[in-house]
Amino acid sequence: MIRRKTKKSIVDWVLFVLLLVGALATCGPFAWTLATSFKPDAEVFTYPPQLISSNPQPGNYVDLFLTLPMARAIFNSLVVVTSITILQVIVCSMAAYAFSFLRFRGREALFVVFLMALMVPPQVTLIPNFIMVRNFGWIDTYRGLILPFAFSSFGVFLLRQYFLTIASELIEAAKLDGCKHWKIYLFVVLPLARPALGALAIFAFVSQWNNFLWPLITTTSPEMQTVVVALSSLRGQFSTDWPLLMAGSIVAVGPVLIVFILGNRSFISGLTAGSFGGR
Amino acid sequence: MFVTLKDVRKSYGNLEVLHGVNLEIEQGEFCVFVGPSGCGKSTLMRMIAGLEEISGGEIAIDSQVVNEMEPAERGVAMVFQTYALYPHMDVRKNMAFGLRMTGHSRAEIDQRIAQAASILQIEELLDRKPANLSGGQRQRVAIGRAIVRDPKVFLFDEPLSNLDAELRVTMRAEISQLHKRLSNTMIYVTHDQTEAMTLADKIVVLRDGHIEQTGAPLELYDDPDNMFVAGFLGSPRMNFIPAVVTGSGARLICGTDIDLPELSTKLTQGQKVFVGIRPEDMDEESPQAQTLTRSVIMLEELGGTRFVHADGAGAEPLLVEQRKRSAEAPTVTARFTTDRMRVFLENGARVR
Amino acid sequence: MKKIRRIFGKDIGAALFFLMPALILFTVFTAIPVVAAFFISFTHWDLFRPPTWVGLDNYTRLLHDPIFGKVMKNTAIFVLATVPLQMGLGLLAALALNRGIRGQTFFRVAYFLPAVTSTIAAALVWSWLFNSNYGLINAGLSMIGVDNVPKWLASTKWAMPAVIIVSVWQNVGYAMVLFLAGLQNIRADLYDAAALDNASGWSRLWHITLPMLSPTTFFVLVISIIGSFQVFELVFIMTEAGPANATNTLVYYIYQNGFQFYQMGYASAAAMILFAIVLLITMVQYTTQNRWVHYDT
Repeated sequence: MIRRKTKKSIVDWVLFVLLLVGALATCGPFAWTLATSFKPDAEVFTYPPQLISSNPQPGNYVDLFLTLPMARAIFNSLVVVTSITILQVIVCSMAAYAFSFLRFRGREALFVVFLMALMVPPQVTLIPNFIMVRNFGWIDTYRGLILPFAFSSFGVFLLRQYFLTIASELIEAAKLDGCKHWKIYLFVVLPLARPALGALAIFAFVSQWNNFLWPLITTTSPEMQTVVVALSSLRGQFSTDWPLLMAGSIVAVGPVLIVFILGNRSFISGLTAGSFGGR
Repeated sequence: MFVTLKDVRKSYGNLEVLHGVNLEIEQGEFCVFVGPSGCGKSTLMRMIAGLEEISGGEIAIDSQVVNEMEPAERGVAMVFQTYALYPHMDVRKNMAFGLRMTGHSRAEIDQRIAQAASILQIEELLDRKPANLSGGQRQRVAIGRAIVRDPKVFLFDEPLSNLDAELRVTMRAEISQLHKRLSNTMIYVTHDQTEAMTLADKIVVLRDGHIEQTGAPLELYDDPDNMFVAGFLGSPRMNFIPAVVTGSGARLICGTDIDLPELSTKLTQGQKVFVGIRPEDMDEESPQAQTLTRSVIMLEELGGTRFVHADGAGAEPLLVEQRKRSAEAPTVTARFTTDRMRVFLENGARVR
Repeated sequence: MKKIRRIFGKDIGAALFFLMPALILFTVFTAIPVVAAFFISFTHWDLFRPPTWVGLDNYTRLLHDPIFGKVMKNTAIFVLATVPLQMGLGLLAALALNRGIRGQTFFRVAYFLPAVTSTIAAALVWSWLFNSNYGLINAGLSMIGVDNVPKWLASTKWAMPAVIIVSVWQNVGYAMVLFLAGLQNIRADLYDAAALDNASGWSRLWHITLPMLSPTTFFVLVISIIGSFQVFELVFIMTEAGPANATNTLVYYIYQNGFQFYQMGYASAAAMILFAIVLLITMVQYTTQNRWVHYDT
């Protein structure tokens, strides 16, 4: 019995060390990026590479915000991503309410249609959407960046899963209390579904912040670029200025990492809820 | 009549679960729907509440047909089995919610909550969330939420089934007192015949979407229309002894002959029947008592009374209740008088 | 009104209200575009002149396009390499963490960080790491005595492996988090029963953990494959499909033809191929799942 216990603790130690090595691999590049972003240009091309600069310079960050349009890009991203997040939470929770608590003909069929949309790769609708948005004159507008993402099948699916765990008696009690559906939605369902709404919001924020292809093709002027698109155009302009590019990456990734680290519990629970709903 | 059900039907697709229910409930009456699970009692209550659509027939409350009315317009309040308290609101907000939604003034809401809270003695719970309440306290809050709305009809859907046995008895008594105090009409659904017997002014026994019998508790207990009602009410349940009709009486399955003086005219020679006698009516000290001796299988001694399980002679064991203590014996002799016997046909119908 | 409610259900009015925003957005930005993509794939359209109907021409061209052949081969290699790697590593990490090792929250966040990172930023960082002259990776390789360090992104042989490594780096944490949640969903009494049956650690893994985990495995497999087929941003930043189309993949090819060469019809046809592949894989997986997925009833 004792031998078995020691064996288990040795195995655990080995696994712990292996996991640490893994964590070094997943997080190391972030540290390296941060280190590089403060290096003076000359130091980048030394061999062997130095991990920490002997003479750290914040100049790249100053350049990003003063001479390059990074501040504007961050503003754009915040406007676009916050709008999308709010719209998705509203639109998806309303639809999920209908699918969870209303009785009407064609409910299951419509839900299946929404689910099937999850299987359509976004690149399939990319070209028609681009042509349409271009014809609407929405190139280089917030509308063009926001509206195509204001609805998400995944969001409906995620919220419906959660809504279905709300006891139907609560809905009935609210009906007896004199609530019409919009009041039940507003005063009973939404307050009770806060964890799921939070998970969807964080998920939408992170994935939209990182969204690239759509803003790439629907923005032409630097004033309307989102952070990620601005970062990719830095790459075109300063292809070998690695410290600047690394500083840009830090700026692009930072807000999302903060949101994620603050809300990782509900983010992950949202993701996994989506997967177990698949049963 | 205060609540009237006329040929009320419910079907899901082609499956009809309530087959034309007719019922009248008087103002102030405590009416209990009782029956085994799946009999349709909850569905019927939910139709009165407006939570289920009415597939056929008509429901009227206070002489107004409510078929097309929203639940909140019907003047009913419901206490759910799971209490259905809003988890995100404290007790006060739970009780206020319905009044707020129907546009009552702040002052009136406060006054009604204070009144209900004092009736139910939950004043000190008003600022707590439901998660921090015990089962009994939640039950009270759920009732309080119904009281503040001052409904024409209270609906209780198996309100005690989530409580432990001891609390259930206490709450049962409280609900009974509450009815006396408020004297509103109350409809109460349960599968527990004890609750039905103790609470009701009127019991409605349902089975398979039909009303089997309606009446006051003792009426149903003493004068059941059929074997189902006779067996459902009363615990332990009535003995049903298979028998064959002979001349002026019947021969029981064990071979004993008994007299059925008044009923014999309604029966024919050789007809198969069931003779029903309650366990508590099997130990009569009357000179007219007929007797039946069987061997004892088992004895349940409860102190104040005891139940003797006797050989059923090919049918179900016979249960005899003895209130007087006596020495244990290998046989038991049941003594019963004719007026406590109920005779049923093979199809369950009562012979009167 | 009563009749409408009878036909469409009692809540039809409320349903229309609650579904209206979703229905409009879904119709405009998903339903119509899917159908439109299908039709556009039968046209030649450069956006400057009106489209012309060409029937199956785009599809026959794709069949004979040597670059498209190479694109399909690259995409297949990419999927076949990344999916097993990220699932395998993710499962191992999840199994290790599920033993109750300390620091579970830390590892979960650490492994998941790449998954929430912008792929563009990740691609930039890794381009720098893979830089053949001054990058950290080659510096490390020569330090441990590798003489002929690969030229990575500039090499037709090593560019694809580099992209694969970055993709696995980014997705391992996602797989791990899903596996971990699946593991924690397995009922403990199954393990108690197995312990009473004297099952060893390995046989518990083999006979309980893996079968009970199969719904999760199935889900991770489906989304990993679908996600892998859509690789774009890594290629866009790291290699721009080069060198010599060595890393050109399906979605990059769609982007190239649609938004660099303005061949909307041709790009749409390629997009329809992607759609068909994804649908086919999903269908095959759902129809064969009974053979290896065990749902706990």
